[in-house]
Amino acid sequence: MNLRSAGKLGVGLSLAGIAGIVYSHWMIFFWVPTESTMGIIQRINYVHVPMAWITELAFGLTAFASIIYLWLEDDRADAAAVAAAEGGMYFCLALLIAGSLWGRVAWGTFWTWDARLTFTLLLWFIFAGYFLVRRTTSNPDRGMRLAAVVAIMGALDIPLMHMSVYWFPTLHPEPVYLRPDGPTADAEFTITLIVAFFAYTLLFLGLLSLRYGVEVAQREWALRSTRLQGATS
Amino acid sequence: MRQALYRLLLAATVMLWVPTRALGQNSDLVGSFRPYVFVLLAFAAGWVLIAAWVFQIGKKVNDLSRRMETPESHTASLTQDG
Repeated sequence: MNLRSAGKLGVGLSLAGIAGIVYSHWMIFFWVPTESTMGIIQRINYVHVPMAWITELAFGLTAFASIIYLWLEDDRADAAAVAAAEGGMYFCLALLIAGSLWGRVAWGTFWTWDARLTFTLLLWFIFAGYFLVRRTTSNPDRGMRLAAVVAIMGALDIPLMHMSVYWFPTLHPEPVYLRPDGPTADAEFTITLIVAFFAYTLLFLGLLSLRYGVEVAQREWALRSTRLQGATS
Repeated sequence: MRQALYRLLLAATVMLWVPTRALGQNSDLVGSFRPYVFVLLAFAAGWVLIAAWVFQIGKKVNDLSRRMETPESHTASLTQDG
């Protein structure tokens, strides 16, 4: 996939995602009823839960692409891993901020060392380390391989983060929608969340495609420049 | 492509108009203003961070386009660095 086709796909998916998010915003602020227990603050869930899903998706994709890179040594797999990890960092930070704002009203504090919160913060730091390893290793190829290992190890935190509400139950509520026995919330809440889920996912995939296209083009250009430099010297 | 990215950003900014407008329309929201500020902040934080990623991608596209426009100067700078 070159920059032009990645750009077209990315812009198309992003625009579809933005249209979906506008619609989901209308549902969130005009259509869905206010939840009786938590009140207004429950509406944060419609951004918090999709951000959590995208964080898991992004870092999961990073780990998957890193496995492919270590196995086949294909530079495109590393480019995909970088693109997904970068998006994951932004969405994970949004997840943490939205959760903190919800916690301030629901629990009376912005932060507590609850297992779910701690594993999420740990995930963000592990992937910050992923970029740190890439930038501080003197040999770029070695840096890419080490970062791939960090991504695979870091992805082991995803199931811990996801299951922590069952394994180490403290403050964070258990899932209401993604349950083996089906959602316990009313249909309006579930439908609104599903729309937000799809809309944010489309936007993420669109931006991921753009970022991947840019990364591949940058690498191709750098390679071409190095060859040109070799030919002229 | 750079223009398309800026359009995406503009569309993202327009989006916060929906929750702000809801404040004047939905009586549930008017009744609990302080928690609603937290809701708005959570949505705004999400959009600011998505916009930051869009900006970062846009900056990389800019850098790449600039380099592609002047291949000789890029090669020269590489030679100097090396």
